[in-house]
Amino acid sequence: MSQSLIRNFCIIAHIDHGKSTLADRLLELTGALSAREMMEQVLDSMDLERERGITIKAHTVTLTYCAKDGKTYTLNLIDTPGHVDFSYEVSRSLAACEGALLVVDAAQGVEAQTLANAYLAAEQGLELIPVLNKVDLPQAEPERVREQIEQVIGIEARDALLISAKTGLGVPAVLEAIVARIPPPSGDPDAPLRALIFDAAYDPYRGVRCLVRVVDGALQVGQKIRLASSGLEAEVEGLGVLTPRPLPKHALSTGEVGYVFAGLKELRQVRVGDTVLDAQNPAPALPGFREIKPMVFAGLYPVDSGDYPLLRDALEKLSLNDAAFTFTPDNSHALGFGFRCGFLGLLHMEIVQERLEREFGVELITTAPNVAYRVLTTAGEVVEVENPAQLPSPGNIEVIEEPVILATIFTPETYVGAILKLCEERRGEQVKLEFLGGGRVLVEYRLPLAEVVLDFYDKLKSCSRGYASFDYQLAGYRQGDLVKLDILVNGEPVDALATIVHRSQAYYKGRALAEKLREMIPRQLFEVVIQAAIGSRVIAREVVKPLRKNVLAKCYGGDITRKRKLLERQKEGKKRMKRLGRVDIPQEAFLAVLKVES
Amino acid sequence: MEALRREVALLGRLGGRPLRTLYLGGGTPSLVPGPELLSLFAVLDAYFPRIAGAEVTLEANPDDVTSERIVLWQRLGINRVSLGVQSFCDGILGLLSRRHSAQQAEDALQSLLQAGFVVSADLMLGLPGLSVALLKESLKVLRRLFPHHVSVYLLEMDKPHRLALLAERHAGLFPSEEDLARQYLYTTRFLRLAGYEHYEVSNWARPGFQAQHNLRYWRGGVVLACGVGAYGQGQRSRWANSSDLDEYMRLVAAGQLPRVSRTQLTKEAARAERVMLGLRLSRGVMWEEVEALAAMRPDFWRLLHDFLAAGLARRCGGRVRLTPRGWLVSNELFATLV
Repeated sequence: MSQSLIRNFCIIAHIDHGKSTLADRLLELTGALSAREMMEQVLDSMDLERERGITIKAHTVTLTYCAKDGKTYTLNLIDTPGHVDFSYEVSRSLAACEGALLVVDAAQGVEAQTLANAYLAAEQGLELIPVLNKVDLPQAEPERVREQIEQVIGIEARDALLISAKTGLGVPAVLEAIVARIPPPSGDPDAPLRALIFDAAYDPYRGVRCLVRVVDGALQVGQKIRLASSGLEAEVEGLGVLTPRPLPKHALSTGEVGYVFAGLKELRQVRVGDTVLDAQNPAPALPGFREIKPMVFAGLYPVDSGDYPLLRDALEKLSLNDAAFTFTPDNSHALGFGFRCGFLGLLHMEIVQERLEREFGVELITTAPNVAYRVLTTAGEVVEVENPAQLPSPGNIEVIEEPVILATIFTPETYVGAILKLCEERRGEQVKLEFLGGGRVLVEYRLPLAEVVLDFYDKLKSCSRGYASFDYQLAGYRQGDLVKLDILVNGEPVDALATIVHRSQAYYKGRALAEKLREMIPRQLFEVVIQAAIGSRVIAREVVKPLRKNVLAKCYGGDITRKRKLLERQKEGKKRMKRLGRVDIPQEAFLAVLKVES
Repeated sequence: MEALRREVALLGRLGGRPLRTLYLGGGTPSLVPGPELLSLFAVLDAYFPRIAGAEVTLEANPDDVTSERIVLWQRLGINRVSLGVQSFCDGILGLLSRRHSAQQAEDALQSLLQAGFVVSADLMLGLPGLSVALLKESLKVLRRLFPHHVSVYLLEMDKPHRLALLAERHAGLFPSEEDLARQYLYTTRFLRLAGYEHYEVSNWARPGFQAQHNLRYWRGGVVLACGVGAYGQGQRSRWANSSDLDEYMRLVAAGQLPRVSRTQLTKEAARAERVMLGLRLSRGVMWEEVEALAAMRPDFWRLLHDFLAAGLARRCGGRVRLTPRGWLVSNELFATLV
């Protein structure tokens, strides 16, 4: 296929700005799927993706388009994940494209996610085509949004396309613009093979399926290949394009996008961002590859300790098609045997938990999420601490560093005050405050990731009535005055409740956490004493008074059936508790730290 | 009433037997007119003769107690009356929408005692506005009249009645858990000093006057039952009559027993139930009986030891029993038995 007839592009949009709907229209217009075959929003194939309206994994679809110039083009739409947790994958998907449709809601304007991804795309030299969606809505203000795009993102938006993906208005012009404005792929067909892996998924029948963009040379069935980062060699068993149904081919040539099976059985053998090379004639790898590391950690324990093997199997199966999360066996005094799991971010964590419960039927107790700290010990060692309970004792710590992020927040002017206050409370350092006109403000803050993982997003939404949008990128580590806050129940430290906090907040948080736990732990036969402590110093003490009354006064003849039901309900309630010595602790208590206001 | 008589006759034809106890209750049997009661007893006597000294109890509202009825009840062989006093305080009776006044309750109790009935009086704890001081007044009246038997109930909110709705909206009007526990323990001490034995969670009796019928139920004896929504029990089974009046009448008219459900308990479940009911009694249960549950119900076993450690249960003379404080939180333990 002639390279000049290929266009590789993606769609950048904020959540709900119409990315999936536009993708559906493009599929429909090019006849990839008839309207009847279309299930709404074909590209989001996981149930969870459809329910939450977010894309978790990258997808791709190859469209055939007859342009007005009479030529037939191959358009490869590469759908990128839409969440900050997956920004590395986004960057790799973008690297497979020459251009991007920048879809902005003509009523709402530019949001943080649009901005972050547009910057990423611009950095990689992609041609951006601004598309104003939902122009059919009465509250649409295309002129204002056009100006905003120019001012905030800094790209020419005079010839932005005005469309309504919902009604199909203006969508044919989008196809023409893709052909006319996005450059064809520029690779060298005669050079040795270099193909970028921008997604990998596990297929139970054929093993690992990689999505690749051939940058130089060609990829053929039967070819011996090598993965640049690991040196792993394999043979191409099958390849093809997705239309979106798989269409097997013999080769993928320079500039093409498609899938490859190479007999690999484990997803962990393949890394997104890696380069596929010809084993016989390996070229240098493509730039930009990075090991992705989990940033957020939490303990996952089965509610019923007998479910431990079930949880282990479920985690192993899940990791077959999610190489980004990690799990290592963990043993908590409080919660028994479970796993310490690492995630890319909060959404990723939620997704994994939800899939474990939904797809594998494992009931879970989750500890509050925390970030990984870097500790320099007095012995001169550097230790990564993923579990607060394992923080070395204060005497052995020279320095603790915590991960920080650069947060980008877009908000209407009205809420700037509240947002700055929130960021300051969260130990933030202001980087930028820019009034963009039209009542919009861009706020940039450097924030400790730990202050963001718990409830920052919710708080941001509530202090801006849902109008502020937020995105972030990791910005290294920063030294902090951090201490471990222990929680003791009847004198025994509960490892699963330990947290690492900034010294300035320790007293407040300790008191608030002890108080919250007092509210959450039901009265028991014995008095329950809850203490918060830093090292050996107790900073807060709360008492759950012993239970005084739980009795059926009347128990005669026929009553027993009804009474049994009442007792059974109580028993069910007990089942959802974890027993710590003589104290029953409800599952929610392990997330109590989330409920403590800063 | 006609259907009830038919049911008694049906049951009798299937196997009449002499009765040790007979209990007329659930609803307000004291309202039933003389002739109806007479004909019910005629059928009962035909199939279920009472052995000498049998306990025959009738539930009565204080305002139904008249000299005529007293004569009638005595003629029928009723020898025990369970009187729904609830409180000797008019304010609280009004709150409960009772038809009787405190004075009426006192008079009724007095006349029943004078007529020679064994009398049981019911009181209620946990009512809005009921303080320990007010409770003391009611208990003093009891001590003065000195009925043979007293039942004191804590108001239960699991039924959707008027007070439950009130409690949802104005929880502050009701005594706190602490206050309620205090009232219950106060009652326990007061009645013990007055000469009563606390023999079940909610029941007190002068020596020799425990409710034989209820003890039978608590000890797992056979209890036959007739009427709409009545429950009966055998050694390891339980059954229920239809609680739908139309269905009940239809089944009886068709010559069938109006039973709509029957449960057979496994040996283990029967044991668990026996222990649960047994621990509601002051004499408790044999230690072997709870030991036999240790393997099957480990939660129960562990919690029972917590009860013992906290002084909520006592082991004595090869038996284990709950203390009044233990009874107050007994559902914690019993929930591990269902």
